[in-house]
Amino acid sequence: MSFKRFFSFRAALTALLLMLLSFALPAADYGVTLQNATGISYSSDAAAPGFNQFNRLQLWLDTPIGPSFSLYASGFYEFSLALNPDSLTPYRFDAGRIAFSGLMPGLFGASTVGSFSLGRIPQQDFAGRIVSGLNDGFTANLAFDNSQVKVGAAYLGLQAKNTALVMIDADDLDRLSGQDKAAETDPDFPSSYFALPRMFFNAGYRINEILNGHDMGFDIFGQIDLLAGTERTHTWYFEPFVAGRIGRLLRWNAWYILEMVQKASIDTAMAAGGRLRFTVPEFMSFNAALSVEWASGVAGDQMAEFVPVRQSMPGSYSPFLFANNTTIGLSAGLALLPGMFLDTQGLFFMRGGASLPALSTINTAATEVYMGTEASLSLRYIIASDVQASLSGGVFIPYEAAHEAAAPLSMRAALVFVING
Amino acid sequence: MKSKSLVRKSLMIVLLLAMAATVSAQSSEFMAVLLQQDSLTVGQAAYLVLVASENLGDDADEQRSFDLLESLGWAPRNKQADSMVTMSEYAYMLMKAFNLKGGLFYSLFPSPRYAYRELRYKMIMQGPGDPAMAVDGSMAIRYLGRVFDLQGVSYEL
Repeated sequence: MSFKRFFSFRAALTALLLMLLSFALPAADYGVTLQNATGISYSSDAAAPGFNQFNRLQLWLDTPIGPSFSLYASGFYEFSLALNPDSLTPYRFDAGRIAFSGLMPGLFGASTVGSFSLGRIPQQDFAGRIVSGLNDGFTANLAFDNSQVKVGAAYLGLQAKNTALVMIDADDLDRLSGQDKAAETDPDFPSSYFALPRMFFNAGYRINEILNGHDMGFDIFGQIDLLAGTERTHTWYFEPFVAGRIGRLLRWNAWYILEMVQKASIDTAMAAGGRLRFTVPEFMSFNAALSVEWASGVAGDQMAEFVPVRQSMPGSYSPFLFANNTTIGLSAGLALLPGMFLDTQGLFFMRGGASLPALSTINTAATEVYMGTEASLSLRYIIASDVQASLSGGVFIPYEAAHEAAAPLSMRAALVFVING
Repeated sequence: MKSKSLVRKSLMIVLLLAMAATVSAQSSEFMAVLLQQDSLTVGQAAYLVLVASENLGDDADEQRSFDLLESLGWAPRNKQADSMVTMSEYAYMLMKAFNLKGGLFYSLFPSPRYAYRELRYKMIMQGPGDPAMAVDGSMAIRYLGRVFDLQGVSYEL
Protein backbone atom coordinates (compact mmCIF):
# COMPACT_ATOMS: atom_id res chain seq x y z
CA MET A 1 0.00 0.00 0.00
CA SER A 2 1.46 3.36 -0.96
CA PHE A 3 2.08 6.07 1.56
CA LYS A 4 -0.73 8.31 0.26
CA ARG A 5 -3.22 5.52 -0.03
CA PHE A 6 -2.26 4.35 3.42
CA PHE A 7 -2.85 7.75 4.95
CA SER A 8 -6.13 8.21 3.04
CA PHE A 9 -7.21 4.99 4.65
CA ARG A 10 -6.10 6.29 8.05
CA ALA A 11 -7.87 9.61 7.44
CA ALA A 12 -11.08 7.77 6.58
CA LEU A 13 -10.76 5.68 9.72
CA THR A 14 -10.11 8.80 11.80
CA ALA A 15 -13.12 10.56 10.29
CA LEU A 16 -15.30 7.55 11.03
CA LEU A 17 -14.03 7.45 14.58
CA LEU A 18 -14.60 11.17 15.11
CA MET A 19 -18.12 10.79 13.73
CA LEU A 20 -18.82 7.97 16.16
CA LEU A 21 -17.34 10.01 18.98
CA SER A 22 -19.48 13.02 18.13
CA PHE A 23 -22.59 10.86 18.51
CA ALA A 24 -21.32 9.61 21.84
CA LEU A 25 -19.94 12.91 23.17
CA PRO A 26 -23.07 14.32 24.88
CA ALA A 27 -23.04 11.41 27.34
CA ALA A 28 -19.29 10.87 27.52
CA ASP A 29 -16.77 11.36 30.24
CA TYR A 30 -13.66 12.91 28.77
CA GLY A 31 -10.47 14.47 29.97
CA VAL A 32 -6.78 15.16 29.62
CA THR A 33 -3.82 13.37 31.16
CA LEU A 34 -0.51 15.19 31.36
CA GLN A 35 2.66 13.29 32.10
CA ASN A 36 5.94 15.06 32.77
CA ALA A 37 9.16 13.12 33.32
CA THR A 38 12.60 14.52 34.04
CA GLY A 39 15.49 12.11 34.03
CA ILE A 40 19.19 12.13 34.68
CA SER A 41 21.63 9.39 33.80
CA TYR A 42 25.25 8.62 34.46
CA SER A 43 27.53 6.12 32.82
CA SER A 44 31.08 5.55 33.97
CA ASP A 45 32.32 5.74 30.36
CA ALA A 46 30.51 8.99 29.48
CA ALA A 47 32.13 12.44 29.60
CA ALA A 48 29.12 14.08 31.22
CA PRO A 49 25.84 13.03 32.81
CA GLY A 50 22.88 12.69 30.50
CA PHE A 51 19.63 14.58 30.90
CA ASN A 52 16.24 13.97 29.39
CA GLN A 53 12.82 15.52 29.44
CA PHE A 54 9.67 13.75 28.32
CA ASN A 55 6.15 15.16 28.17
CA ARG A 56 2.93 13.54 27.02
CA LEU A 57 -0.49 15.12 26.69
CA GLN A 58 -3.22 12.55 26.24
CA LEU A 59 -6.86 13.23 25.42
CA TRP A 60 -9.36 10.54 26.29
CA LEU A 61 -13.04 9.85 26.03
CA ASP A 62 -15.10 7.15 27.73
CA THR A 63 -18.76 6.46 27.15
CA PRO A 64 -21.20 3.59 27.47
CA ILE A 65 -23.20 2.71 24.36
CA GLY A 66 -26.35 1.07 25.58
CA PRO A 67 -26.35 -1.33 28.51
CA SER A 68 -23.83 -3.79 27.04
CA PHE A 69 -21.26 -1.80 25.10
CA SER A 70 -18.77 0.97 25.73
CA LEU A 71 -16.28 3.04 23.81
CA TYR A 72 -12.95 4.34 25.10
CA ALA A 73 -10.69 6.35 22.85
CA SER A 74 -7.45 8.22 23.48
CA GLY A 75 -4.71 9.89 21.52
CA PHE A 76 -1.58 11.68 22.58
CA TYR A 77 1.07 14.24 21.74
CA GLU A 78 4.63 13.64 22.93
CA PHE A 79 7.69 15.81 23.25
CA SER A 80 11.10 14.51 24.22
CA LEU A 81 14.51 16.04 24.59
CA ALA A 82 17.77 14.42 25.60
CA LEU A 83 21.24 15.81 26.19
CA ASN A 84 24.40 13.67 26.19
CA PRO A 85 23.73 12.09 23.78
CA ASP A 86 21.61 14.81 22.17
CA SER A 87 18.28 14.10 20.55
CA LEU A 88 15.09 16.06 20.08
CA THR A 89 11.62 14.84 19.09
CA PRO A 90 9.50 17.99 19.04
CA TYR A 91 6.30 16.14 18.35
CA ARG A 92 4.88 12.70 18.03
CA PHE A 93 1.16 12.08 17.67
CA ASP A 94 -0.29 8.64 18.01
CA ALA A 95 -3.34 6.75 19.14
CA GLY A 96 -3.44 5.48 22.69
CA ARG A 97 -5.89 2.86 23.85
CA ILE A 98 -8.99 2.73 21.65
CA ALA A 99 -11.51 0.08 22.55
CA PHE A 100 -15.03 -0.75 21.57
CA SER A 101 -15.99 -3.27 24.23
CA GLY A 102 -18.96 -5.38 25.11
CA LEU A 103 -20.03 -7.47 28.08
CA MET A 104 -22.85 -9.96 27.57
CA PRO A 105 -23.91 -11.96 30.63
CA GLY A 106 -25.91 -15.06 29.77
CA LEU A 107 -24.66 -15.15 26.18
CA PHE A 108 -24.92 -18.96 25.85
CA GLY A 109 -26.88 -19.77 28.98
CA ALA A 110 -27.31 -18.62 32.54
CA SER A 111 -23.78 -19.38 33.73
CA THR A 112 -21.94 -17.88 30.77
CA VAL A 113 -20.50 -14.42 30.25
CA GLY A 114 -19.24 -13.27 26.88
CA SER A 115 -17.06 -10.23 26.37
CA PHE A 116 -15.06 -8.69 23.57
CA SER A 117 -12.82 -5.74 22.88
CA LEU A 118 -11.91 -4.34 19.49
CA GLY A 119 -9.46 -1.59 18.60
CA ARG A 120 -6.00 -0.67 19.94
CA ILE A 121 -6.29 -2.81 23.02
CA PRO A 122 -4.07 -4.43 25.65
CA GLN A 123 -3.26 -8.05 24.89
CA GLN A 124 -0.81 -10.35 26.56
CA ASP A 125 0.03 -13.93 27.29
CA PHE A 126 0.04 -15.22 30.88
CA ALA A 127 3.64 -14.22 31.60
CA GLY A 128 3.69 -11.18 29.31
CA ARG A 129 6.88 -12.52 27.73
CA ILE A 130 5.46 -13.37 24.28
CA VAL A 131 3.54 -10.16 23.79
CA SER A 132 2.17 -7.42 26.02
CA GLY A 133 0.92 -3.87 25.75
CA LEU A 134 -1.36 -2.27 23.18
CA ASN A 135 -2.00 -3.97 19.85
CA ASP A 136 -4.38 -3.30 16.96
CA GLY A 137 -6.82 -6.17 16.98
CA PHE A 138 -9.50 -7.87 19.00
CA THR A 139 -10.01 -10.24 21.90
CA ALA A 140 -13.10 -12.27 22.69
CA ASN A 141 -13.66 -14.16 25.93
CA LEU A 142 -16.24 -16.63 27.06
CA ALA A 143 -16.49 -17.56 30.73
CA PHE A 144 -18.59 -20.59 31.65
CA ASP A 145 -18.74 -22.44 34.95
CA ASN A 146 -15.17 -22.20 36.23
CA SER A 147 -13.53 -21.99 32.80
CA GLN A 148 -12.53 -19.22 30.44
CA VAL A 149 -11.82 -19.46 26.72
CA LYS A 150 -10.29 -16.57 24.81
CA VAL A 151 -9.30 -15.88 21.23
CA GLY A 152 -7.68 -12.84 19.68
CA ALA A 153 -5.68 -11.45 16.80
CA ALA A 154 -3.73 -8.30 16.07
CA TYR A 155 -1.78 -6.55 13.33
CA LEU A 156 1.56 -4.97 14.25
CA GLY A 157 2.24 -2.83 11.18
CA LEU A 158 0.25 0.21 12.37
CA GLN A 159 2.33 0.71 15.49
CA ALA A 160 5.39 2.90 15.89
CA LYS A 161 8.40 0.64 15.55
CA ASN A 162 9.89 1.91 18.80
CA THR A 163 6.84 0.91 20.79
CA ALA A 164 6.01 -2.23 18.82
CA LEU A 165 9.53 -3.48 19.65
CA VAL A 166 9.36 -6.35 17.20
CA MET A 167 12.83 -7.89 16.86
CA ILE A 168 12.11 -11.23 15.27
CA ASP A 169 14.50 -11.24 12.34
CA ALA A 170 17.03 -9.07 10.50
CA ASP A 171 14.28 -7.13 8.69
CA ASP A 172 12.92 -5.91 12.02
CA LEU A 173 16.37 -4.94 13.28
CA ASP A 174 17.02 -2.98 10.08
CA ARG A 175 13.69 -1.22 10.46
CA LEU A 176 14.43 -0.36 14.08
CA SER A 177 17.86 1.02 13.27
CA GLY A 178 16.56 2.98 10.26
CA GLN A 179 18.77 1.03 7.85
CA ASP A 180 16.01 -0.58 5.87
CA LYS A 181 14.86 -0.01 2.32
CA ALA A 182 12.00 2.31 3.32
CA ALA A 183 14.39 4.67 5.09
CA GLU A 184 16.71 4.75 2.06
CA THR A 185 13.98 5.48 -0.46
CA ASP A 186 11.89 7.83 1.62
CA PRO A 187 14.25 9.63 3.98
CA ASP A 188 12.05 12.70 4.46
CA PHE A 189 9.09 10.94 5.87
CA PRO A 190 9.27 8.06 8.27
CA SER A 191 7.36 5.46 6.35
CA SER A 192 9.74 3.42 8.42
CA TYR A 193 8.12 5.00 11.49
CA PHE A 194 5.93 1.91 11.67
CA ALA A 195 6.83 -1.64 12.53
CA LEU A 196 6.94 -4.16 9.70
CA PRO A 197 3.70 -5.89 8.70
CA ARG A 198 3.21 -8.86 10.95
CA MET A 199 0.16 -10.26 12.62
CA PHE A 200 -0.46 -12.66 15.43
CA PHE A 201 -3.41 -14.64 16.63
CA ASN A 202 -3.92 -16.38 19.90
CA ALA A 203 -6.20 -18.73 21.77
CA GLY A 204 -6.22 -19.67 25.40
CA TYR A 205 -8.01 -21.72 28.00
CA ARG A 206 -7.99 -21.30 31.77
CA ILE A 207 -9.72 -23.38 34.38
CA ASN A 208 -10.18 -21.74 37.76
CA GLU A 209 -9.88 -23.56 41.07
CA ILE A 210 -8.95 -26.86 39.48
CA LEU A 211 -7.30 -27.59 42.80
CA ASN A 212 -7.96 -25.71 46.00
CA GLY A 213 -6.96 -22.10 45.24
CA HIS A 214 -5.21 -23.00 42.00
CA ASP A 215 -5.86 -22.17 38.35
CA MET A 216 -4.29 -23.83 35.31
CA GLY A 217 -4.38 -23.06 31.64
CA PHE A 218 -2.49 -22.48 28.45
CA ASP A 219 -2.02 -19.84 25.76
CA ILE A 220 -1.20 -20.50 22.12
CA PHE A 221 0.20 -17.76 19.89
CA GLY A 222 1.06 -17.75 16.19
CA GLN A 223 2.95 -14.90 14.55
CA ILE A 224 2.86 -14.53 10.77
CA ASP A 225 5.45 -12.53 8.83
CA LEU A 226 3.57 -10.60 6.10
CA LEU A 227 6.59 -8.85 4.56
CA ALA A 228 6.93 -9.91 0.93
CA GLY A 229 10.22 -10.25 -0.87
CA THR A 230 12.37 -11.34 2.04
CA GLU A 231 12.85 -14.52 3.95
CA ARG A 232 9.83 -14.79 6.16
CA THR A 233 10.09 -15.72 9.81
CA HIS A 234 6.99 -17.10 11.45
CA THR A 235 6.96 -18.00 15.13
CA TRP A 236 4.68 -20.26 17.16
CA TYR A 237 4.31 -20.49 20.92
CA PHE A 238 2.69 -22.82 23.43
CA GLU A 239 2.56 -21.59 27.03
CA PRO A 240 1.08 -23.72 29.83
CA PHE A 241 0.84 -22.11 33.26
CA VAL A 242 -0.33 -22.62 36.81
CA ALA A 243 -1.17 -19.92 39.36
CA GLY A 244 -2.40 -20.26 42.88
CA ARG A 245 -2.34 -19.30 46.50
CA ILE A 246 -1.15 -21.15 49.56
CA GLY A 247 -2.96 -19.82 52.57
CA ARG A 248 -3.95 -16.18 52.71
CA LEU A 249 -0.54 -14.56 52.35
CA LEU A 250 1.35 -16.57 49.75
CA ARG A 251 0.76 -16.62 45.99
CA TRP A 252 2.79 -18.33 43.31
CA ASN A 253 2.84 -19.00 39.62
CA ALA A 254 4.92 -20.92 37.12
CA TRP A 255 4.94 -20.91 33.34
CA TYR A 256 6.82 -22.41 30.43
CA ILE A 257 6.99 -21.36 26.78
CA LEU A 258 7.88 -23.66 23.91
CA GLU A 259 8.64 -21.73 20.74
CA MET A 260 9.10 -22.82 17.14
CA VAL A 261 10.90 -20.37 14.87
CA GLN A 262 9.92 -21.17 11.29
CA LYS A 263 12.08 -19.83 8.45
CA ALA A 264 14.05 -21.93 5.94
CA SER A 265 14.45 -24.36 8.80
CA ILE A 266 12.51 -24.82 12.00
CA ASP A 267 14.29 -24.05 15.26
CA THR A 268 13.15 -24.62 18.79
CA ALA A 269 13.50 -22.15 21.66
CA MET A 270 12.20 -22.05 25.20
CA ALA A 271 11.56 -19.81 28.16
CA ALA A 272 10.27 -20.44 31.66
CA GLY A 273 9.69 -18.61 34.88
CA GLY A 274 7.93 -18.44 38.18
CA ARG A 275 7.21 -16.15 41.06
CA LEU A 276 6.50 -16.51 44.76
CA ARG A 277 4.79 -13.50 46.33
CA PHE A 278 4.22 -12.90 50.02
CA THR A 279 1.81 -10.17 51.12
CA VAL A 280 0.74 -8.90 54.53
CA PRO A 281 -1.95 -6.29 53.82
CA GLU A 282 -2.38 -5.51 57.53
CA PHE A 283 1.26 -4.47 57.92
CA MET A 284 1.67 -1.35 55.76
CA SER A 285 0.54 -3.33 52.70
CA PHE A 286 3.85 -5.15 52.82
CA ASN A 287 4.73 -7.43 49.92
CA ALA A 288 7.85 -9.31 48.89
CA ALA A 289 8.51 -11.49 45.88
CA LEU A 290 11.09 -13.89 44.54
CA SER A 291 11.09 -14.49 40.80
CA VAL A 292 13.15 -16.54 38.41
CA GLU A 293 12.99 -16.23 34.63
CA TRP A 294 14.96 -17.98 31.92
CA ALA A 295 15.08 -17.44 28.18
CA SER A 296 17.04 -19.80 26.00
CA GLY A 297 20.12 -18.95 23.98
CA VAL A 298 21.75 -20.72 21.07
CA ALA A 299 22.99 -24.15 22.03
CA GLY A 300 24.35 -25.85 18.94
CA ASP A 301 21.63 -27.33 16.76
CA GLN A 302 19.55 -28.23 19.78
CA MET A 303 18.24 -24.83 20.81
CA ALA A 304 17.73 -21.36 19.33
CA GLU A 305 17.53 -18.00 21.05
CA PHE A 306 14.08 -17.20 22.44
CA VAL A 307 12.36 -14.64 20.20
CA PRO A 308 9.06 -13.17 21.39
CA VAL A 309 6.51 -11.32 19.26
CA ARG A 310 7.24 -8.15 21.22
CA GLN A 311 10.60 -7.84 22.90
CA SER A 312 10.70 -7.11 26.62
CA MET A 313 13.40 -6.55 29.22
CA PRO A 314 13.71 -8.36 32.53
CA GLY A 315 14.99 -5.19 34.22
CA SER A 316 14.67 -1.44 33.92
CA TYR A 317 18.26 -0.27 34.30
CA SER A 318 20.26 -3.12 32.74
CA PRO A 319 20.80 -3.56 29.00
CA PHE A 320 19.57 -7.16 28.72
CA LEU A 321 16.62 -8.22 26.62
CA PHE A 322 14.55 -11.22 27.57
CA ALA A 323 16.66 -13.57 25.49
CA ASN A 324 19.57 -15.80 26.33
CA ASN A 325 19.70 -15.09 30.04
CA THR A 326 18.53 -16.15 33.46
CA THR A 327 17.29 -13.53 35.90
CA ILE A 328 16.75 -13.96 39.62
CA GLY A 329 14.76 -11.13 41.16
CA LEU A 330 14.01 -10.09 44.71
CA SER A 331 11.57 -7.30 45.37
CA ALA A 332 9.76 -5.75 48.31
CA GLY A 333 7.31 -2.93 48.81
CA LEU A 334 5.24 -1.24 51.47
CA ALA A 335 2.95 1.75 51.98
CA LEU A 336 4.80 4.30 54.09
CA LEU A 337 1.73 6.53 54.38
CA PRO A 338 -1.75 6.37 52.85
CA GLY A 339 -1.11 6.79 49.13
CA MET A 340 2.69 6.64 49.45
CA PHE A 341 4.41 3.45 48.29
CA LEU A 342 8.04 2.45 48.47
CA ASP A 343 9.29 -0.37 46.23
CA THR A 344 12.74 -1.83 45.89
CA GLN A 345 14.11 -4.52 43.59
CA GLY A 346 17.31 -6.40 42.98
CA LEU A 347 17.97 -8.45 39.84
CA PHE A 348 20.86 -10.82 39.22
CA PHE A 349 21.65 -11.63 35.60
CA MET A 350 23.25 -14.82 34.36
CA ARG A 351 23.77 -16.49 31.04
CA GLY A 352 20.80 -18.34 29.62
CA GLY A 353 22.85 -21.01 27.93
CA ALA A 354 26.18 -21.74 26.34
CA SER A 355 26.08 -18.68 24.10
CA LEU A 356 26.23 -15.04 25.18
CA PRO A 357 23.70 -12.21 25.10
CA ALA A 358 24.16 -9.84 22.18
CA LEU A 359 25.77 -6.99 24.07
CA SER A 360 28.72 -5.01 22.79
CA THR A 361 30.37 -5.03 26.20
CA ILE A 362 30.31 -8.77 26.67
CA ASN A 363 33.71 -10.44 26.78
CA THR A 364 33.27 -13.30 24.35
CA ALA A 365 36.27 -15.11 25.78
CA ALA A 366 34.84 -15.13 29.29
CA THR A 367 33.24 -18.23 30.70
CA GLU A 368 31.59 -16.61 33.72
CA VAL A 369 27.91 -17.35 34.22
CA TYR A 370 27.12 -14.30 36.34
CA MET A 371 26.90 -11.07 34.30
CA GLY A 372 25.79 -8.29 36.60
CA THR A 373 23.35 -6.87 39.12
CA GLU A 374 20.63 -4.27 38.92
CA ALA A 375 19.27 -2.49 42.00
CA SER A 376 16.43 -0.01 42.02
CA LEU A 377 14.25 2.02 44.36
CA SER A 378 10.96 3.75 43.64
CA LEU A 379 8.80 6.08 45.70
CA ARG A 380 5.26 6.73 44.44
CA TYR A 381 2.89 9.20 46.01
CA ILE A 382 -0.78 9.68 45.12
CA ILE A 383 -1.01 13.34 46.13
CA ALA A 384 -4.67 13.57 45.20
CA SER A 385 -7.06 11.50 43.14
CA ASP A 386 -5.88 13.33 40.01
CA VAL A 387 -2.23 14.04 40.83
CA GLN A 388 0.53 11.48 41.25
CA ALA A 389 4.28 11.79 41.57
CA SER A 390 7.05 9.24 41.55
CA LEU A 391 10.77 9.34 42.11
CA SER A 392 12.73 6.34 40.98
CA GLY A 393 16.31 5.43 40.41
CA GLY A 394 18.49 2.44 39.71
CA VAL A 395 21.96 1.23 38.94
CA PHE A 396 23.40 -1.57 36.82
CA ILE A 397 26.73 -2.95 37.99
CA PRO A 398 28.33 -5.21 35.37
CA TYR A 399 30.43 -8.13 36.57
CA GLU A 400 33.83 -7.17 35.21
CA ALA A 401 35.04 -10.68 34.54
CA ALA A 402 32.13 -11.31 32.19
CA HIS A 403 32.47 -8.01 30.33
CA GLU A 404 35.12 -6.09 28.52
CA ALA A 405 37.37 -4.03 30.77
CA ALA A 406 35.48 -0.85 29.88
CA ALA A 407 32.04 -2.20 30.70
CA PRO A 408 30.35 0.82 32.23
CA LEU A 409 28.49 1.14 35.45
CA SER A 410 25.28 3.01 34.69
CA MET A 411 22.78 4.86 36.85
CA ARG A 412 19.49 6.58 36.08
CA ALA A 413 16.91 8.49 38.09
CA ALA A 414 13.61 10.05 37.09
CA LEU A 415 10.99 12.31 38.60
CA VAL A 416 7.55 11.85 37.08
CA PHE A 417 4.32 13.81 37.57
CA VAL A 418 0.96 12.70 36.23
CA ILE A 419 -2.05 15.00 36.30
CA ASN A 420 -5.53 13.92 35.21
CA GLY A 421 -7.80 16.79 34.28
CA MET B 1 -13.68 10.35 67.53
CA LYS B 2 -14.44 6.71 66.93
CA SER B 3 -17.49 6.76 69.18
CA LYS B 4 -18.72 9.89 67.40
CA SER B 5 -18.35 8.11 64.11
CA LEU B 6 -20.28 5.11 65.34
CA VAL B 7 -23.06 7.29 66.68
CA ARG B 8 -23.21 9.19 63.41
CA LYS B 9 -23.16 6.05 61.31
CA SER B 10 -25.83 4.45 63.46
CA LEU B 11 -27.96 7.54 63.18
CA MET B 12 -27.65 7.43 59.42
CA ILE B 13 -28.59 3.78 59.22
CA VAL B 14 -31.55 4.41 61.53
CA LEU B 15 -32.51 7.32 59.34
CA LEU B 16 -32.42 5.24 56.19
CA LEU B 17 -34.33 2.41 57.80
CA ALA B 18 -36.73 4.85 59.30
CA MET B 19 -37.21 6.51 55.95
CA ALA B 20 -38.07 3.12 54.54
CA ALA B 21 -40.33 2.25 57.43
CA THR B 22 -42.43 4.32 59.76
CA VAL B 23 -40.93 7.60 61.00
CA SER B 24 -43.43 9.54 59.01
CA ALA B 25 -45.92 8.74 56.36
CA GLN B 26 -44.16 11.28 54.15
CA SER B 27 -40.71 9.69 54.24
CA SER B 28 -42.19 6.22 53.97
CA GLU B 29 -44.09 7.27 50.90
CA PHE B 30 -40.99 8.99 49.54
CA MET B 31 -38.87 5.83 49.87
CA ALA B 32 -41.55 3.70 48.26
CA VAL B 33 -41.66 6.07 45.30
CA LEU B 34 -37.87 6.41 45.20
CA LEU B 35 -37.21 2.70 44.90
CA GLN B 36 -39.60 2.50 41.96
CA GLN B 37 -37.93 5.37 40.14
CA ASP B 38 -35.91 4.70 36.97
CA SER B 39 -34.67 8.26 37.11
CA LEU B 40 -34.62 10.53 40.14
CA THR B 41 -35.63 14.15 39.93
CA VAL B 42 -33.41 16.89 41.30
CA GLY B 43 -35.94 17.43 44.08
CA GLN B 44 -35.92 13.77 45.12
CA ALA B 45 -32.13 13.63 45.05
CA ALA B 46 -31.95 16.84 47.08
CA TYR B 47 -34.36 15.45 49.69
CA LEU B 48 -32.43 12.18 49.99
CA VAL B 49 -29.00 13.76 50.26
CA LEU B 50 -29.91 16.71 52.47
CA VAL B 51 -31.90 14.60 54.93
CA ALA B 52 -29.21 11.91 55.08
CA SER B 53 -26.53 14.53 55.68
CA GLU B 54 -28.63 16.16 58.40
CA ASN B 55 -28.94 19.41 56.51
CA LEU B 56 -32.72 19.07 56.47
CA GLY B 57 -35.44 17.45 58.57
CA ASP B 58 -37.33 14.53 57.06
CA ASP B 59 -40.61 16.43 57.21
CA ALA B 60 -39.51 18.61 54.28
CA ASP B 61 -40.84 18.06 50.79
CA GLU B 62 -39.00 17.87 47.48
CA GLN B 63 -39.59 21.51 46.56
CA ARG B 64 -38.27 22.71 49.92
CA SER B 65 -35.26 20.42 49.52
CA PHE B 66 -34.62 21.87 46.08
CA ASP B 67 -34.95 25.43 47.41
CA LEU B 68 -32.41 24.70 50.13
CA LEU B 69 -30.09 23.09 47.55
CA GLU B 70 -30.34 26.22 45.42
CA SER B 71 -29.69 28.51 48.37
CA LEU B 72 -26.58 26.49 49.21
CA GLY B 73 -25.42 26.86 45.60
CA TRP B 74 -25.37 23.09 44.99
CA ALA B 75 -28.33 22.88 42.61
CA PRO B 76 -27.69 22.01 38.95
CA ARG B 77 -27.82 24.98 36.61
CA ASN B 78 -31.02 25.62 34.66
CA LYS B 79 -32.91 22.79 36.33
CA GLN B 80 -36.06 22.67 38.41
CA ALA B 81 -37.12 20.36 41.20
CA ASP B 82 -38.87 18.04 38.75
CA SER B 83 -35.99 17.89 36.23
CA MET B 84 -34.07 14.63 35.90
CA VAL B 85 -30.86 14.52 37.94
CA THR B 86 -27.74 13.17 36.27
CA MET B 87 -24.96 11.08 37.80
CA SER B 88 -22.58 14.04 37.86
CA GLU B 89 -25.16 16.32 39.49
CA TYR B 90 -25.95 13.71 42.13
CA ALA B 91 -22.21 13.22 42.70
CA TYR B 92 -21.82 16.97 43.27
CA MET B 93 -24.65 16.95 45.84
CA LEU B 94 -23.00 14.06 47.70
CA MET B 95 -19.58 15.73 47.65
CA LYS B 96 -20.97 19.00 48.97
CA ALA B 97 -23.47 17.63 51.49
CA PHE B 98 -20.98 15.26 53.08
CA ASN B 99 -18.05 17.63 52.69
CA LEU B 100 -15.94 15.04 50.85
CA LYS B 101 -12.42 16.02 49.90
CA GLY B 102 -11.76 16.11 46.17
CA GLY B 103 -8.70 16.12 43.94
CA LEU B 104 -6.75 19.07 42.59
CA PHE B 105 -9.22 19.91 39.84
CA TYR B 106 -12.24 19.55 42.11
CA SER B 107 -10.58 21.92 44.59
CA LEU B 108 -9.84 24.44 41.82
CA PHE B 109 -13.09 24.03 39.90
CA PRO B 110 -15.73 22.45 42.15
CA SER B 111 -18.35 21.21 39.72
CA PRO B 112 -20.45 18.14 38.86
CA ARG B 113 -17.83 17.07 36.30
CA TYR B 114 -15.02 16.71 38.81
CA ALA B 115 -17.36 15.47 41.57
CA TYR B 116 -18.35 12.58 39.28
CA ARG B 117 -14.66 11.87 38.56
CA GLU B 118 -13.90 11.91 42.29
CA LEU B 119 -16.65 9.49 43.21
CA ARG B 120 -15.55 7.13 40.42
CA TYR B 121 -12.02 7.28 41.84
CA LYS B 122 -13.28 6.59 45.37
CA MET B 123 -15.32 3.69 43.90
CA ILE B 124 -18.54 5.12 45.28
CA MET B 125 -19.87 5.15 41.74
CA GLN B 126 -18.94 1.88 40.05
CA GLY B 127 -19.66 -0.02 36.88
CA PRO B 128 -20.46 1.26 33.43
CA GLY B 129 -21.92 4.72 33.37
CA ASP B 130 -21.45 8.25 32.21
CA PRO B 131 -21.86 11.68 33.81
CA ALA B 132 -25.11 12.41 31.94
CA MET B 133 -26.79 9.15 32.85
CA ALA B 134 -29.96 9.13 34.96
CA VAL B 135 -29.77 7.89 38.57
CA ASP B 136 -32.34 5.31 39.59
CA GLY B 137 -33.64 4.94 43.14
CA SER B 138 -31.67 1.88 44.17
CA MET B 139 -28.44 3.32 42.75
CA ALA B 140 -28.97 6.52 44.71
CA ILE B 141 -29.37 4.58 47.96
CA ARG B 142 -26.34 2.41 47.16
CA TYR B 143 -24.11 5.44 46.51
CA LEU B 144 -25.30 7.02 49.73
CA GLY B 145 -24.44 3.85 51.64
CA ARG B 146 -20.92 3.84 50.18
CA VAL B 147 -20.45 7.45 51.27
CA PHE B 148 -21.34 6.38 54.83
CA ASP B 149 -18.87 3.50 54.58
CA LEU B 150 -16.16 5.83 53.33
CA GLN B 151 -16.73 8.31 56.10
CA GLY B 152 -16.73 5.55 58.68
CA VAL B 153 -13.39 4.28 57.42
CA SER B 154 -11.85 7.73 57.31
CA TYR B 155 -13.01 8.55 60.85
CA GLU B 156 -11.54 5.33 62.17
CA LEU B 157 -8.22 6.20 60.58
